[in-house]
Amino acid sequence: MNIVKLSWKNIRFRPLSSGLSILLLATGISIILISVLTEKQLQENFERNAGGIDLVVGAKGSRLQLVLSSIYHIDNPVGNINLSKLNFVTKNPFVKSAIPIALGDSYKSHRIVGTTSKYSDLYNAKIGKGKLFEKPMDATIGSAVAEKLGLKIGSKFVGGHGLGKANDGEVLHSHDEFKYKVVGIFEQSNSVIDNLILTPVESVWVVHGGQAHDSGGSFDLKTKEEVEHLKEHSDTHKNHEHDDHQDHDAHGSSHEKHKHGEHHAEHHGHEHDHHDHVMSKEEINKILDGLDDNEKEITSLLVQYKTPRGKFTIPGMVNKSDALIAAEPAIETMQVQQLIEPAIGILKYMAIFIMAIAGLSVFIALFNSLKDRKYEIALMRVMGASSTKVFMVIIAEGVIVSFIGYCLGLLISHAGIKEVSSLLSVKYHYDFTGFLFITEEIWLLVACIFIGLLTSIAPAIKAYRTDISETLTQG
Amino acid sequence: MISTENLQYKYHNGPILQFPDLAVDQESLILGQSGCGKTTLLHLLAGMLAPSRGEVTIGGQQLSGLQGSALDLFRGKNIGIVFQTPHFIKALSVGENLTLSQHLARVSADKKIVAATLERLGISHKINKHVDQLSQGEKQRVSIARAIINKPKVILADEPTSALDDKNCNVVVELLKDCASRNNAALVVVTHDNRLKNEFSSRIEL
Repeated sequence: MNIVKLSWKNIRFRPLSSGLSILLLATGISIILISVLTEKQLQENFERNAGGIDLVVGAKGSRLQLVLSSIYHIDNPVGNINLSKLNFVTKNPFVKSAIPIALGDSYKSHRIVGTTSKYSDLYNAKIGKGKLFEKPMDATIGSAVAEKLGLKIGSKFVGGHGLGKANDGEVLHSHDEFKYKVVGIFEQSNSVIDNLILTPVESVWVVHGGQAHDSGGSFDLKTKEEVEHLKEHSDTHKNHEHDDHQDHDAHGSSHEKHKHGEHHAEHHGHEHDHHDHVMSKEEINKILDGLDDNEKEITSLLVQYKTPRGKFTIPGMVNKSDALIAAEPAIETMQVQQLIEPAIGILKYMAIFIMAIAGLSVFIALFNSLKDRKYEIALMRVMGASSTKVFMVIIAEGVIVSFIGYCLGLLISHAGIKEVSSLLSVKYHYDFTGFLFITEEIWLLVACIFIGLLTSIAPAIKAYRTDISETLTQG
Repeated sequence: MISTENLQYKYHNGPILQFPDLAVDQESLILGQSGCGKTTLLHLLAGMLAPSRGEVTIGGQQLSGLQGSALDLFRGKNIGIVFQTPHFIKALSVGENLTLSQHLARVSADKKIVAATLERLGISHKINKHVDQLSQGEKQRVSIARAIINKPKVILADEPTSALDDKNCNVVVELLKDCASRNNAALVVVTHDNRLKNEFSSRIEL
């Protein structure tokens, strides 16, 4: 029966007041921790996923959207740009690397990113199984994609157009004829790659027949007829004639479901013919050969400078161009963080307020219980306890209550983040972890213990000063 | 075992009480009406009050030579006290209250001694009960158990029977006397309860 055990028994003897104090402390702690952890992980993810990219070049539009879509894969992609017109960037002596990104398709809400092998180097993503994509329609997938969708080496899948509000091809229009084949799976890198499907940029050109529309963001759907039309050039499928593909061009990117439905109905006949058909290397090469430079489009270019001087010349050059815009990830993410900060700041003030109330609650609980326990304190002195020991018992109660409150708060916040992370991983394409522990947590523990000490010190002094004789006479 | 010499206590802005000298080796009853300073005497004997004059000596140790935590520890080890209304640490069970008593007197916690003590007082089946669940008589037995658990040199009892009926009164007195003689402890009972008059060979009237 040591001090800690005695204090613990006393705490348990008053479950309501102790419980209230603990709950208030835990609430305060978890609000602080959740806001700090979210902010921290968001920031870390922003930094890690920036992958040392100095500049993003894309079609004219919102810089923020360009950065969010091309680097963080959060927002919708902006319009397309022509790869051949970007030579002044890719061949610039100040540029170390310029990695193309072609977005637009997804598979079960995981983005298919057309790019080059250099993309995975940005994040130091290592191949876990299989190999990196080599030829068009190869796909190397992130670890989370493999895990969530159960894809293995050799698995084949069909990308859907759009970026995945739906989980299957029902709403998204699927490019049935073009099957990706999984050739490799990345190791977990805790970067966006975990949730991406990487493929050579040529795959995207193949799937979209090399003719991206001018109208919408990213690569627009090629209707089946257009695809068929393309194939006719390669003389493999001559059995179908299309007079109406121009009409489809006209309605282009408006992916209303019923219109597609019509196409499906109209061309029901040949649809089945190609349903299980995987394109041969020759077919793919023929499509690619059929593309001229103007048709090789990408969504954006991720640029790393060779020297800091790139910063002063390249953005200016890009922004001069009518169709292009250059965005610096650092600046854009700072803007996002500046948007988030005040909200998190308010949360923190709220949490501090709750902590103050929690401290008050610990104080009141101890003070009230001490009124009932005056005689007990005197009794302990009779049994041989020194006034210091009695003092320590009361202090221990305050500290134990705040420690439990802290632990509960820690548990709530980490469990909460883990729970919420499943939602966030879909939205932000990276996973928050419930197991990130940060130095702030140690400070929070110190603060919590301090609150326990501070609030129990007055009651403890009162206990220390108990006059045994007087108290026992009154009792 | 316990003796006093020229013991005097001055109340704050009040009268001065002069107590007769005591020398108790076995048992002694101190009788007196309410307000004559019985409890004050007991508190002086237990070192909970400091006398304005005179000396209390327990087992050769003068209480005036002890201060602060040393006095507290001496009290815990050598003096067992039974109060008129038994009080306990409410958050603890009967057994835990006794273990706490061992701990606070820095006697190593011994569950066997706890069990044996309760057994002797006929309440061993209450060891895991909370003190609130006990009857008045049972509570007084537990407080006797607590007073003797550390084998003190002196057992002080302040009106131990005044809240009890005749039957329990007798039982408690017998238990006190029995426990004191078994432990070779001096027993000092302070009371106004005339039922105890004939139970003690040595009597002092205040």
